[in-house]
Amino acid sequence: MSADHRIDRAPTRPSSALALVAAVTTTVAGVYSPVAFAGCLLGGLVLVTGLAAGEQQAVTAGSAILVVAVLAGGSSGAPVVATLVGVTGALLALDLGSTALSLGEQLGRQAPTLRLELVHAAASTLVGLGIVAAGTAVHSVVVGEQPETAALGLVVAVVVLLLALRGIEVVPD
Amino acid sequence: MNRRQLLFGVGVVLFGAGVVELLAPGTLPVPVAETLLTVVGGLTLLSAAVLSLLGRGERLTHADTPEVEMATPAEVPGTDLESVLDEFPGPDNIRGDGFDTRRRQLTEAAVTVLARIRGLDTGHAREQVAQGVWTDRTRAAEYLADDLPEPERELTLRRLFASETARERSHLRTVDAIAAAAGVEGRGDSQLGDGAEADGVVDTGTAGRDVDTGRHRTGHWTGVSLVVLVCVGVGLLLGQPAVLLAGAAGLGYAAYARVTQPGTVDLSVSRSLGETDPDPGEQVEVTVTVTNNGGFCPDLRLVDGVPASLPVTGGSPRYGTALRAGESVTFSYTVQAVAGRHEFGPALVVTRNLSSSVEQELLVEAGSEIQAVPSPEPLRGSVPLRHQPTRYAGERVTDTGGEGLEFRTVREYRPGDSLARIDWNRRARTGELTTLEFDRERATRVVILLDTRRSVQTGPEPEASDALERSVAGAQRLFPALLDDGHQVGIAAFGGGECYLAPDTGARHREQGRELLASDPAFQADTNHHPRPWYWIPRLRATLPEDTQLVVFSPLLDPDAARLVRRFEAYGHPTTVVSPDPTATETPSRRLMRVRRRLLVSHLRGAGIPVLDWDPSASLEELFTREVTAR
Repeated sequence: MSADHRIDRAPTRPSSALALVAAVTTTVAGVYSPVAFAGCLLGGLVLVTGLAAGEQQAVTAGSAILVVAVLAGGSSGAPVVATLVGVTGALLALDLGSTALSLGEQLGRQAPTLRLELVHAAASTLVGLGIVAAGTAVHSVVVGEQPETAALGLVVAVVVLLLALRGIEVVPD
Repeated sequence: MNRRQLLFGVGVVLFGAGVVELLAPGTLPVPVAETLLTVVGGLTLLSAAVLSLLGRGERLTHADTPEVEMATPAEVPGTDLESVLDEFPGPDNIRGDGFDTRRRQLTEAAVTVLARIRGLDTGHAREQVAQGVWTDRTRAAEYLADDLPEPERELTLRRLFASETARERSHLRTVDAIAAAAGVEGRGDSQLGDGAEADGVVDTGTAGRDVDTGRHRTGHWTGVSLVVLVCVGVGLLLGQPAVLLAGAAGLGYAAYARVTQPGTVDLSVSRSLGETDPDPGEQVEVTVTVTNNGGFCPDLRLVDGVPASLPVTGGSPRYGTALRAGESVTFSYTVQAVAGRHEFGPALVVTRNLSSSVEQELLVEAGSEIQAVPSPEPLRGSVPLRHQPTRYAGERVTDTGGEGLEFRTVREYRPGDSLARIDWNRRARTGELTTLEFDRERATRVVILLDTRRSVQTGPEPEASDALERSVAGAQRLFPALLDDGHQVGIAAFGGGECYLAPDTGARHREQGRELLASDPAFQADTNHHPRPWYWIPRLRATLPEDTQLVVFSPLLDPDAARLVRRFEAYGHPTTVVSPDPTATETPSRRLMRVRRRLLVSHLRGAGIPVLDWDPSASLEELFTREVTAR
């Protein structure tokens, strides 16, 4: 009898590749600040390691480093839109990397999964594009007059709403 | 009103105030000082820290999928030392005395080996073990010797941390020495063999799988809300609008994860087979069609229920796709047919919502089965059956005289003798009334009895055919060969007695036997049998006709098997054992298992029961020819 060996449960290739594209986008958005750029390279490296080894924690850590690096860039004067694109890219990298991992674990590399991966990646990317568009719009509206009370009110409202949302379970108990 | 609704209300009010202030600055009489920004930023970062601490245990989860591509690996006998020693034969009886401490068990095993294989008498063997002179491996000899130096008594740091492993090591050393004393040597000193067993049982099918059909969160977006809080906190503290606004990314994805609702999943799976009755070894193409009867399913991960006993040789039985409402998808893979009947299990489906935040597992039933019946390939050469007088005509010449073709002797006429057998020539010549006697050519009635207990599903390595497969394959060849020799042949299996084919002859019977061996549940790998043999023995005994020889296929791994054979011999069924050897030698305990089997084989041979020890590399023909020449 043959084929008794187990299947290759490494992360699937399409989503891994797309996760790398997202990380590269973030890195490109980080060019305004040397610190951010260096941090992005490090984050990207950790992400690649995680995808190569099939380690979720490394993928999460890589994305976290990307976020921190981009925020560091934003703190030292990088443009608003670049920072927004950077964080969006980092989260997209986390999403696609995790998808590659779970698909690899459940179905393996040999199984055809391209359509699933493309649908998922397209949806997540569209959401990301929407976020960047909305963020840019908000920025262009608010940036002129700087009514700080309004901005603060909106921000705190958003945080409170987010905390409220956390309590909502999509899964019915 | 609960906390969540309160938070939600506060959020909406704040949001509205913010919008009003944005459109008409100065409407609200709230002075915004730098300090307020700092305080809010600090509070936000604090809540981020609290959240990350609370969420530390939260991990990404996903449903596990079984190794359906693999055929269930054969268990290598003797992998567990404890079970080898528990049923090790004693020096005087086949059951052993069931000692409770490991050292006593090892002592008994050593005595048994010295007595039964080296030929010492039991007292002498016991003495040798007590004096530590039974082996030249000093540490093993010392361990079993009476004046055991007890280094364990010293209360040292080393003992506190390592005494268990040290003891395990001396057990393994001793086991190794006992096996060597019995002439079984091999490489490998550690307990574990190759990787497969180290992981424990491998799940190779979907049938009977326990699936949590509820929806559960995957934690796929774990950490995005943290990103929002960090962005807002840092942005406010540093007064950096870029950082503040970057929080929108986290916010957007958090909302995406919440908003995408998992729909109800309604799938149907159908399977079509290239061939449902292939020959063993043939490649069979399996085509699976999945239809989505419900709404849009963005993330569908399917693992087909390949029978646990069949290996996948081409393609993948797994498929991941997105399906629109009403859409179907088809994929295919190849399995290699193995003799026997194999039922496909349900397909395991894992679906997720578009954002991957919720997962759901379900099993979709799709019944189909493959039955591979080997083409008849009767054994060439003669089968070493045992001599036995019976009442049925056949080819085997018995020692009793009677009706037949070959002249044997002439005797005085007795009333009742057939007229056809009166020697009319002699009657005409001498007037004497005599009866001719011929050699009775008698068929033997044979039942092939297979040991099908779960403990039999063992092989010398995980990838090898297990003893059950070899037994069934052997029976598949022996059955037509015995029929060709003119015997009446039947088939039975250990356990239960539901699997039974009464001894008979003829073309139809031949086909029935072939079918039975190929398809009866008793011969399938996943069948459970009654664990207590004494429960089904009476039933099987009542089923077997008198004057029936038995050919038992059993690897003879446990004393129960040997006792069963002796029992049937005692019931008046002359028994021959064909014993496929599944033992291996990579670890000390496996070598001890080989010794245990040898003891059982020699026990049966000592009782006058022929045992044909079937090495995995030998063919049945070789085995039988050797036996026939030896007789």
